[in-house]
Amino acid sequence: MSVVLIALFTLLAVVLQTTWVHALSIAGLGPDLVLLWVLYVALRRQTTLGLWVAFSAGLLQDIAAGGRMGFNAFLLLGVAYVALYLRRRFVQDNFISQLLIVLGFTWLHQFLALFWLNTLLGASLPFGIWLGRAAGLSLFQALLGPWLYLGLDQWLNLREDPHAHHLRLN
Amino acid sequence: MPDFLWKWRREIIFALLVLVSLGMVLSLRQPGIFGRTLRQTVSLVVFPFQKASSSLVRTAQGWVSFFTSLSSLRRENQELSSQVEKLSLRNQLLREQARENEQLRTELEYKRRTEWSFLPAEVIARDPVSWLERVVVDRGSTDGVTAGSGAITPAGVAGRVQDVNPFSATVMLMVDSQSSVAGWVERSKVHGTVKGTGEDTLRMVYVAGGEDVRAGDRVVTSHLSTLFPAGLPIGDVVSVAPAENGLMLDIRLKPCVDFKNQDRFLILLPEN
Repeated sequence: MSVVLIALFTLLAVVLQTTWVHALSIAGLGPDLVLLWVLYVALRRQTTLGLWVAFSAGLLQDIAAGGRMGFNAFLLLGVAYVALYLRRRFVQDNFISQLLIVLGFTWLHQFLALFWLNTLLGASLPFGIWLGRAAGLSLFQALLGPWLYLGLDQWLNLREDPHAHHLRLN
Repeated sequence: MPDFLWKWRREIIFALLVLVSLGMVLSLRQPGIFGRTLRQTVSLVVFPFQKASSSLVRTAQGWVSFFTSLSSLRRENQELSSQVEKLSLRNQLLREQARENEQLRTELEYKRRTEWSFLPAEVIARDPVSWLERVVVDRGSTDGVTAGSGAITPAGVAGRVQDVNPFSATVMLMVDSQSSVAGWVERSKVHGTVKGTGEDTLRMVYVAGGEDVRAGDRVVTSHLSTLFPAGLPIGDVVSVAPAENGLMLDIRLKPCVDFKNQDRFLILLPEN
């Protein structure tokens, strides 16, 4: 996967996250496409690239959604680093294992968000509210993530090896 | 590259990027020239994509809503037409009263009040999974918007402008945990500060115990507010209880504005 393609996907994830997800959300909750994309790159691609994608996607998300600059970059970096560190220990071919990985990393992301909001930014988010939102979000992520990864894998494989599609069809 | 650096490259890059992000987060109270330039440049690049994408969403939503409410449109149209007639008449009377009021204030040598103009703005971006309650609107410094401008809806106070870029601006909604506005209870004129909680409710603080505040009271902007004209609805009191220290009241409000579904705002611009 070329750097240009990764940059385009990062931009696409941020634009869709800030414009489409709200319209498709249920009870104020929707998936976090940027987190799913960062996880995909960190788990499937080369090591340090995941960190750069996490940083740039987070920064872009902060600016595009009017958030605190550096905050999402910081959170996604944490998630990407843990994902890179544990990458070899995960079995990713299985649908269920992918679902559990996405679920686990979404909880980690939300926990980091709560921790840093309450310490770094001086907010006082109640734990109950956090728990409800984190649970709803991780459910969305777990349901969407594996399908998204399957689609991305198929498309990227096809792009890198056009014969693969032909062989599969036969 | 030395072996040491190559071996630890992941940790070194991680540490460097963490330091840069932390620096950005911590320097936000007074963003430097680098931070402002970076934000404005990235906003300029992302803005056309967001504008196009949000227009697409709005068009799709418009079509869905058109087909689902086709039957009630005619009746609604008639009701609105009759309402417009009534409101036009009422507006005329209010204009006359405002003119008289202004004349009397001048005669009594009162301080001249700020006149406001309203700039309509549409939401082009929001992140529903973010813990911060902020949205990006399609008006910026080229339209005269400045940081600190108030944002309202016909229902009441919505928030204030946090950051301004040439063609877009970030509005911090009233429910954001860092937002606050001076308000008073309409019925008893008890002053306080209304703050966001990060949830769907607001809190009114700095109200001494024993003050006359009841559930159901409406809280509006006070004359102490410099961002909003006085009398704009903020929220309705849902509960009043003594605060933990026992000296103050812990007042919870339900906001007048439905923030989840709000996609249009009016930005307040002072005229004088």
